[in-house]
Amino acid sequence: MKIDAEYIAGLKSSDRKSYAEFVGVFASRIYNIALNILQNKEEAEEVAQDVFMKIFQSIESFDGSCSLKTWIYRITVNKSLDALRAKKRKASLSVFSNFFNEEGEEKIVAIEVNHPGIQLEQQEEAEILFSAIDKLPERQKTVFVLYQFEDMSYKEIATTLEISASAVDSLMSRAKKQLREYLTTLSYGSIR
Amino acid sequence: MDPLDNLLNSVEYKRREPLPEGFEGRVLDKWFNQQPIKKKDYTVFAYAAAACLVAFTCINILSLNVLNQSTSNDVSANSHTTIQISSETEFAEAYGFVETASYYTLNK
Repeated sequence: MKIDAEYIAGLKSSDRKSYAEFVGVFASRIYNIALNILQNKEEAEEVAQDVFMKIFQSIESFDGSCSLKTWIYRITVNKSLDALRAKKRKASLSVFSNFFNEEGEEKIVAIEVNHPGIQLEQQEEAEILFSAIDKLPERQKTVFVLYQFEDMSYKEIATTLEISASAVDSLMSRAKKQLREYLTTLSYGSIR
Repeated sequence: MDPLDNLLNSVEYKRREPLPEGFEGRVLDKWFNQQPIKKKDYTVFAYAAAACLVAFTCINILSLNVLNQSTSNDVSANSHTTIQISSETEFAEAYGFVETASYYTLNK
């Protein structure tokens, strides 16, 4: 694997072969981060393409204050969250996006999970899990996804999101607490 | 056991999904097909800059011509001087007359 300076020099050279090599190295990770946040492969592909366009456009202004990998993941998370917000804005305009049970509390709607990695027999459980994750506030969701699905350490997550490690720890604790409450609301224990 | 941990453990999914087919090619095509548009924008700016330079030069030339005209008029206006003449000799010297025999013979 090349060092950062070699990748950067390749991108500044406008040489297609250098670009192809760069894409080959980072595409899988970028795509999977977007997929885990968005839970939809078409949206994840679109975001991943946008991430690469952003990297190519901004490479001249990359100042090396962090590693190239961290910078790339930061762009990926931001673009994924932008797409998520746009999706939620669209959904909120829909008449059928939210409905209330008899007590007036918001009911969790199992969303369609278009994650290619989910085995068919686990579809129901995956839908419940991802529905609950989707309900988390943005920062908790991001931290949870990066830790749980991307196997990033707290330190790596802190660097990527430009927050402290203790903030990551706090967000993870709150995310897990909130997920447990959602699952209790659904009486998930009785499903199994 | 914690239902969340149960759920996370039971939902087995691949940690690294394969990229959609042709993804890398699409990314490269999208980027490199954008490049000619960037070059065109640069050419337009270059032409605009050249036009501005020509206009600026023309204005400067015209301004200099006007300045020269007014300066030469000032020189003409200041070219007249007064000479005090107290003798015939001084008069002749001041106006460039050459002493000739016929002139002096005439006046004597």
